Amino acid sequence: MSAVEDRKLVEELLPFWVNGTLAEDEAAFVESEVARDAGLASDAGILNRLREQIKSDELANSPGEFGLARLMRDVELEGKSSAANSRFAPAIWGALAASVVAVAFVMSGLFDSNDPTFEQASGDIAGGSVSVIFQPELAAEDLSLAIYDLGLVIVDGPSALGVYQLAPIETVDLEQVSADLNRRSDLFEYVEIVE
Amino acid sequence: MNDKELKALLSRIADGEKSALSTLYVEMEKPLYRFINLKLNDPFQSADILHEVFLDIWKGAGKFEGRSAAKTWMFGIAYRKVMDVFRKGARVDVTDDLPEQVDDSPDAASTLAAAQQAEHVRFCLDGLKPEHRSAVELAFYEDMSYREIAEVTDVPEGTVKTRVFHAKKLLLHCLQTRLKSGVVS
Repeated sequence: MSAVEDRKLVEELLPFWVNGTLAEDEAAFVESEVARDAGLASDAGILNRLREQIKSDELANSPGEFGLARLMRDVELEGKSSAANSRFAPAIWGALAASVVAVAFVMSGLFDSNDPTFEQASGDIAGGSVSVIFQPELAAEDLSLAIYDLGLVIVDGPSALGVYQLAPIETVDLEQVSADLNRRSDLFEYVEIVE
Repeated sequence: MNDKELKALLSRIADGEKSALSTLYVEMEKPLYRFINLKLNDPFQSADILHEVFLDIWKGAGKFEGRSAAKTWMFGIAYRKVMDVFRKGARVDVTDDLPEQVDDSPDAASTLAAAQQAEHVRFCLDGLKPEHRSAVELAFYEDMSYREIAEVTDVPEGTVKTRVFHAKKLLLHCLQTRLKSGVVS
């Protein structure tokens, strides 16, 4: 290697000699070059000062605790949403299976809803209903109170997956009901209008 | 916290341990934020990128195989995110072309004096291109080896050495120019 190439190599390695990350053989090589070249030694001194300045230069404040709170909130939300998805997926299949059974039941003509003697035990839900999953930490008492406060009634459930069907006592605007329930994320983990 | 401890934290994060993520955040938030904000120079956007970096760590810790240093892996995530910002055109690279007539042997004593003043160092660092600045920051603030920097920035080791070499020349030239123009007290 020529002297010029040697010099360039040492200059390239010099910053990493200053930060102490060179391998042993590289460090020894740079050290010997610095010892015999005043220019390199001077450069090393300046780089050292630069490094100290960069290290001591505290720039803009980091997000700190706010950033941590934001992160943990999002991690929490992500956990809930994936849990809801994994719970919801089997619920869809369960609902589909139930629908197939119900259709088959109707098709079989085993009962006739026009029969004047027929009355649904849970009352008339011709206005439709919403499927919901309550927040898991909700106590039974809170759950009852919430249903009452929102003017709803349980018409089915809970299923094995924890899905309830709720119907409004008065209004038939299910979109509105669904929007109201979706706003109550403290109570409901999942809300969907049953078509 | 050493590499072994950081790797142990990542392993716990991979197991879904939120307290480990919280500990890692406290440990790595400042250096990662500094690294991001030095390039973006926008505290709000940098905070968002930092948030994304930690979410990626949370989701991707299971994929970390431990072949590289934990810090290298995390800074690599941050570097790629910052470069995405640049690629999307939201940012324009600062030009730091080396002037044709660079005095390779500036007055050492006065350059040293300038290097001792934070405002001049910051001013000169600000004038570097992002890739030069990243290399210098990783070398001098994080004390990474050129091999680690190559891994973080996904370029050959030779490129890292050349970048730091050029950055050093530019910094010295800048400090010297400030001296000559009488900015340095």
